[in-house]
Amino acid sequence: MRQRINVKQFIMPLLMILCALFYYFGELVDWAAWDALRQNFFYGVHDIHRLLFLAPIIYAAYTARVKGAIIATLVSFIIFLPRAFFISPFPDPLLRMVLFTIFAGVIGVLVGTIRNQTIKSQQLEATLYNERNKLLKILDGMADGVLITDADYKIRFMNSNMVKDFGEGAGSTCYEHLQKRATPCEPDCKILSVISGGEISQWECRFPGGRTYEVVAAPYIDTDGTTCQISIFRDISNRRAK
Amino acid sequence: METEWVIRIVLFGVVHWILAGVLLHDLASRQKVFGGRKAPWAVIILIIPCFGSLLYLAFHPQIFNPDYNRDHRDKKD
Repeated sequence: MRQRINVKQFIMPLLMILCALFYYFGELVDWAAWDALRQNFFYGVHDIHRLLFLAPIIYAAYTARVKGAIIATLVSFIIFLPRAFFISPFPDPLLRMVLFTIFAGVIGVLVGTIRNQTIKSQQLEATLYNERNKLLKILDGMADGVLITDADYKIRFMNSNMVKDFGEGAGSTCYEHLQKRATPCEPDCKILSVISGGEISQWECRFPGGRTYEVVAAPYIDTDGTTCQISIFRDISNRRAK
Repeated sequence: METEWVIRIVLFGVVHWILAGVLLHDLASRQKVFGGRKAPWAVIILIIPCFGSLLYLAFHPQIFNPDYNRDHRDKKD
């Protein structure tokens, strides 16, 4: 079976070769006698020319993280060496080259570290999201109604039993959706004591239409770190009628 | 020997050993290498200062794309 070639892996060597050609273009012109291409720019101090090497170093840091940044920086250093040792007629070529390499290496390592952190947090976020979905799936299958509400009374989740009894209300406030009120159900509402006090509460709640539910509420920390209230609603209307 | 030459040799040596260390670590953790055998690559990296490392990099450009290699390996598994 033919194996597919990953073109991306050749971008980095290609960038390095291009930068090296640019860095030694003046010498290349001299060697090949391309007089038409002779420009003063290629025979000056090469501090600006060296800046081009930031592209492969940062690219390597992005794709191969800290290890890539270190390798790309050292390869750039090897490319700089012949000019610093034998070609440059300007003062302190070695010192300027070493300083640039340290500067570029630090930038590369920082980019690699930031990229590492980004990937890690993306993976963590995905894991957290999957765990939340798994939990919500379990809650959705429960025989009782389940409601997750935040401290602003906004409904974050309703399971299918709750939706069947009250209709879909995620995003609206619990007092508007469940009680058809314009203000929170004070003093009966226990949401603030559950969320800020961290205590588990149990009470009976009457809804428009004469239905009565036994509510058990406990604090729940959602994936975004917000402390919410998770409540289980059990219909006890029939029990009350007897 | 002039001081400048001593500095040049030391710098060259430092670069060689850091690069050799990183690449030998990569060589040890790599499942497949160009040519099939790891020992000759280790000798090339160690014996030929800097250019041996460049040669290893030229034949193993996948070192700069570890995500693709990992995903590819995972799919195969």
